[in-house]
Order: sequence, then C-alpha cells, then structure tokens
Amino acid sequence: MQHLWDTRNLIVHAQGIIDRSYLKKYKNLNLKTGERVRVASKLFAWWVEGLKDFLKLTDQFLSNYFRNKETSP
Amino acid sequence: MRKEEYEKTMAKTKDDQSTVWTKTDAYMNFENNLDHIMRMLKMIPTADAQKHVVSLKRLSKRIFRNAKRVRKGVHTDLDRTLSDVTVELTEISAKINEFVALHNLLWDWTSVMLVAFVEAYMEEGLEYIATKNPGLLKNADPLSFESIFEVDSLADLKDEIRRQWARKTLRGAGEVGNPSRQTGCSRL
Repeated sequence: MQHLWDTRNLIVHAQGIIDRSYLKKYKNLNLKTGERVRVASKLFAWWVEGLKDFLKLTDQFLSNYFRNKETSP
Repeated sequence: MRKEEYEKTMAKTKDDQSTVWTKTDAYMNFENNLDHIMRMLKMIPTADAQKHVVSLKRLSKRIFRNAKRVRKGVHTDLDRTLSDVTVELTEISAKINEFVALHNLLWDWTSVMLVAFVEAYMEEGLEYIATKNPGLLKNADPLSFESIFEVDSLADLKDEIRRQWARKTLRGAGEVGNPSRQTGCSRL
C-alpha cells in the first residue's frame, strides 16, 4: 500500500519522475533517478489485490463494530 | 474506541474468515469505483499495439527482400530504398510513442484514482465510527464561523464535524511541518 501511495505522490507532485527518496525506498526495483515511474498491469493488479485484502478486513471490522454497538446497551 | 473494544472486535473479525459480510455503504462505493477503474482499463487500446507490431514485421520483411535484390544486382537504387524505409520507420515510431504515452497516462491516472477511492472509503468508515461513538469527536477541531452559518440543520452540523474529524484523522493532520506528522497511508 505504501508503494501505491508513494507512486501516486510521485505522479501528482513530481510528474512521475523518480527522485532520490523514492529510489532509496524501492532500490530493489532496479530504478534510476530522473526516470519516469512505470505503472504496469502486473503492478496495478498487485496493488488492487493488497487493497482488497486490507479493505475486506477493515470492512468486516467496521461491520462487527456497528453490530456490537447496536446490540450492546 | 477503547482498547478492549478494539481488541474484542478485531478478534471476532479475525475469527470470522467468511467472504460474506454485511458490507458498509462505504465498501459498496469502493467496489463500484473499482469496477469503473477495471472497466476503463479494459478500454486500453491494446489492438493498436498489435497493429504497430504487424507494421514493423512487414517493414522488416521488405528490408530483407530489398537487401537480397540489391545483393543480386536486381535492384540498385539503395538510396531510395533506405529513404523509403526511414520514412516508414519514423511514422511507425511516432505511432508507437503516442501509444506508449497514452498507455502510461492511463495507468498513472488509474493509480491516482485508486488512492482517492481508498481514502474516500477510509473517510466514510471513520465518519460511521464517529456516528456510533461520538465520544471520539472530543478531539475534533471547532468549526469555523462560516461552516456553522452554511449548514441548514443541526444534523448537517454534526455531519460536518464528523467529516472534518475523519479527514483530519485520516490525513494525520496536526501541524504541517511537525516531524511527527505522518501520511494517512503509513498510519493505516
């Protein structure tokens, strides 16, 4: 998720150009400073799957929380 | 939310591994938005890329054919052949560049939209929590004079307080420039 957020910030605030802090954080991705960040279908699908897992758990939590609130005095 | 309350709800959530649950409106909104993104991605004109590959293959065949003819002495106007190939290559490369630019743009924008949709979900979720547990709003910022006069009812005023609190909670507001300020994502 952090990778998606960082990539989004790069796209919105830096024209998608990789800076030193992004490079340092994701050095295992074989990137270069000054290059344009590339979002491809595989990466996007990976983000979506991660988000779905996270949001499913969050929503189940919220659902249980509301149910508890409704049943508790 | 009290710690015990959080732990109890979380334990119950982890125990319940079913894929069916009473989805919140916020989640249904997210699913709907995600469906739109996926539908849009299917519209990426991949057929165009295929067309460019076909053009390149055709050009490469022509180059080989002409090279053969030049070697055999059948065709001697090498300059003209090279000039034709260069023109065609320039056209194909312009089309490929255009395709790649459009492709990148679509992927970039969908990533930005994805973050916006998740943030919207989290904001709505926090608003619901605050509706059920108004005690959380004790740290909410006071509303501005303008906001108070803009709303039509007390219910709208409550909504506005919850909305502002949710936004502040999600974005990790606090003072800008405060080193302890974190982004919404890292706090999640």
